[in-house]
Amino acid sequence: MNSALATAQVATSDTLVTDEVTVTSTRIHRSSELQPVYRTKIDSVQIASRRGEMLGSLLWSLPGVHVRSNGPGAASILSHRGLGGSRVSIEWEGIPLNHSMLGVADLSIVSNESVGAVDFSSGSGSSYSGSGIGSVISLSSPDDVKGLTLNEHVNTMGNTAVTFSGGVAGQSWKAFVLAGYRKDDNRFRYYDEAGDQVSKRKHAAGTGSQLMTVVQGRRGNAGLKSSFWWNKADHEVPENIYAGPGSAHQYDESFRWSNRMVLRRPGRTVRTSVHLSSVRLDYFNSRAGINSLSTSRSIGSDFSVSHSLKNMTELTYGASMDYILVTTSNFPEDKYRLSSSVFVNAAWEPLEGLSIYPSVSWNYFSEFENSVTYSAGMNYVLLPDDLFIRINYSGDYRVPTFNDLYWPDGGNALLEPEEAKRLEAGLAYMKAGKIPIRTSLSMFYTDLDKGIKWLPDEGGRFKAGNIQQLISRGVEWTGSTELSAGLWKIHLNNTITYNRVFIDEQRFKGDSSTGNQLPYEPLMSWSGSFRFSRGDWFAGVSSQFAGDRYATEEGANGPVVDSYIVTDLTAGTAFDIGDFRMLLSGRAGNIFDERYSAIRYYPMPLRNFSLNISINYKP
Amino acid sequence: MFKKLQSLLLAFLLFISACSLETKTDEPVLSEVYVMNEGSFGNSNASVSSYDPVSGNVASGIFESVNGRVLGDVLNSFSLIDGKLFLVVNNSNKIEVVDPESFTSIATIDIKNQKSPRHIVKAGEGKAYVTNLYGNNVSIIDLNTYTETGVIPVGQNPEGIAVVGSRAFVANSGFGSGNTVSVIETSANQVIRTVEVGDNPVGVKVDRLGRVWVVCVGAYNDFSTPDDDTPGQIYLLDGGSGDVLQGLTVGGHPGRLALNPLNDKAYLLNGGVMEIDMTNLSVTNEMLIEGGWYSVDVDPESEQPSLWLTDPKNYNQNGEVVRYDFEGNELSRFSAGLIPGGLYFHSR
Repeated sequence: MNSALATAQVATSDTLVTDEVTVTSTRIHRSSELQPVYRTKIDSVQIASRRGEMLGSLLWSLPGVHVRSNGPGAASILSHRGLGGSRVSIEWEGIPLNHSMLGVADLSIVSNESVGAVDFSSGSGSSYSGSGIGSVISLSSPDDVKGLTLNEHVNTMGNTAVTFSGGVAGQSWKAFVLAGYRKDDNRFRYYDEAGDQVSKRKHAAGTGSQLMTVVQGRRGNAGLKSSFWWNKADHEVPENIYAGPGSAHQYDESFRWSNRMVLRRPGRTVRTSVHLSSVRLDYFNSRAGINSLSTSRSIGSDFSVSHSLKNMTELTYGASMDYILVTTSNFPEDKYRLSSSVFVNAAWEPLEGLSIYPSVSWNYFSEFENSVTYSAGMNYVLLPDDLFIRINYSGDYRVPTFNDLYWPDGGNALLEPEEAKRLEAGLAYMKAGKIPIRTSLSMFYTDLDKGIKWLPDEGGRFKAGNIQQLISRGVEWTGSTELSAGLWKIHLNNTITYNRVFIDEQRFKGDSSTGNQLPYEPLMSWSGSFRFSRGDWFAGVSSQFAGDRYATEEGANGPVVDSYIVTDLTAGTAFDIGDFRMLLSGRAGNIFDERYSAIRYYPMPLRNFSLNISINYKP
Repeated sequence: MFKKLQSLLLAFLLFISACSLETKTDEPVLSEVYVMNEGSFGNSNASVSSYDPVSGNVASGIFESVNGRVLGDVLNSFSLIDGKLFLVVNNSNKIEVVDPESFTSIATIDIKNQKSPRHIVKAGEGKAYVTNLYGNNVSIIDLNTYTETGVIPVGQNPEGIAVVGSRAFVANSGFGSGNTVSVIETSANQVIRTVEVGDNPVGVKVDRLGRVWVVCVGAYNDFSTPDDDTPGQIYLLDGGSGDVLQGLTVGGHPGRLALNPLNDKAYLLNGGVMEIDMTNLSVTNEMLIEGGWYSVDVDPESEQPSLWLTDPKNYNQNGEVVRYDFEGNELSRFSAGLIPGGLYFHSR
């Protein structure tokens, strides 16, 4: 198997046989089972099987995650444990993808080709990860492709994506470049529930281009990784199917440059990073005569030193600093934010098998009062190498977005950061051997205070306020296993989430939403996949389920978006033609023609098909 | 002599009362109150609820249940024209025509080029006008074929519209920067005059004397600086000539207006309900009823005329309709749909 892509498709799932030592979604430099919170990664097999699609298609398999997609080509926002998109931190090579004005990261403009690995942590607290109350999703650039690879993806929605990548490696360095272009018509069949008929969706066409370069080097005990990513998207903004066809366009253009360095010395490791980014959004609605233009530029740095002490103790301390400048046609003047934090955390093992993880950070923000955040975690090995128990408690915060603070009509410069107390406890069972089993059970409770919500004042004008008290609690279970017999390999993966999230206190007189499940947050969700391979042939089936969701704060008394279960089939093979390694794969999406939507009246596609061809040449 | 006069006067009053009672029993009785729930923008959850004032029962989603399809995105306004209800569904760029008795659909009028229709009014025999927020014009609707037959250019971002005789008055809001009313001669479908009024004219109503009431919301200018806002105003225009008769600065940024011909009082939403004497255009009660109301209506033709106010709550949960007497005392309340934005009183 010469092609890394082909290798990924037929290879053994890498979450089962190896575990990343490099932790990017937390600052606790230990393997997943020893963390105080739930942590996992999306492996290269899953990423490869979703080539040609956008990031939301990858992340729905994570426990507690619900992707709110407005349909192919339209905005797609991720919510974790019911806390909404702005409270989940999504970053690429350490650079936040959450937009500084909007708070959320739009998954519909990031293609899966841009991603080499996904590292997911349910969040060990703001004292580790800075502003954020939910989980941390850390994306790495793809960097393991050797030779030259041309990848072409087409589907029955009229979408095509072409990616060209190449990588070279020396003994102590490697370089990788990726260039991609996509043109999406996003015309698909959907079920019109009100008209009780199948119709064809349009008005979500778009194009996208990207260029990525990654250079890594090692000299002695020092390592450097420099990643550059330019990404551009131009797409129509569709309205719901019972509104007009829509006349809005959005142009997104961004570049991000991350430089990370690690220096290892006996007994200590120094990590530094510097990043630059610029994100430009241009929303244009010809009908309404609205042109909203904004550019968000940031520079950030992070420095930490980890000392290995006696009793398996690791002490880490450091500082980080970020500066964001927002220039927009919506604000009368430029706005900036300077933030920094000084942190210290430890991984202390007072007894064999028992790890304690205390952490504290002091945080400065130019717009707010200084704050101190903390976290206390524990992990105990109940059965050596097999059974682990973990618990974590943290006091977290999330700063308001620039729009929350400065939007001319309703922004509130007096807003304070949201605050949350979070408790998570869980068990993990990891059985190595011929039939490896990995399963975990997590229980979580989050009490969010000073939640930011836009509500109308007496004159009916919406204004941002720290007025929302939220409770999110629930249980997540994940399980996976793998069977091997000769050339056959079978892999199973399952995730089940129960999540009750609701407003805890009345926000205004007559507020009837207290106690209701929040809109668009399913009480139950499930995802599962079954993959098998034999030699160069592979096939798989994956499904996702989301329970009923409510479209308004009325809960069950208001409109309900029906539950759905969507099943996809994938199959393919890899073969050689001379010096070329070919990978041919096909996908039948939504094979049972499920009529569903994540957001009411923004239907998702009925049965659809896609084809992926990858040609790898390795001199 | 005085006693004789008193007796005569008493007899006259009794006669008048008897006539009134007799007439009252012949009058149609308020049978339903239809609540026009706007729904939230971009979510196609506009709906119509029906309230039975006798039993207190509320039926929701009657358009969908009768016609088996979604009403659309943002039910901005409605108008009764020739015995039919015309529902202006703003972000779906259409007007649904229904029978007010059964709510069955009669026709759907498409507004071309996504002009964002806001209000509809009858403008002569077989013809209606629709203001188009993004079209900067008024659509001409043929009421026989239910089609849009043309447009009349007006000012920027027209909102409210009303007709007096052969003149239509269109408030050109300019999204806050406008300050004019276009006067259209309906027989010629042409703007014959542009009248300068206060900043941000949005609402237009006609009183029993044929005067045109224009609600000017006031400009926000720099949204982040409340100090540069201009105050809300009421302008009174002559329904014939369009001349400005009178103006009243009410302050704040007023919303909807309801006119009560029974007591010649106007009720203006302005951080609560403000009561205005229509005879001399003066504020008689700055805060008759407190609250963040979304719409105000009066049902002058029902047995117990009253003020009906809608409470949208936070615009993301079902609102309420609250009925008050004209002294500001609450009479009753009931649940409505999402963002209740106006009431139609149907009598049988």
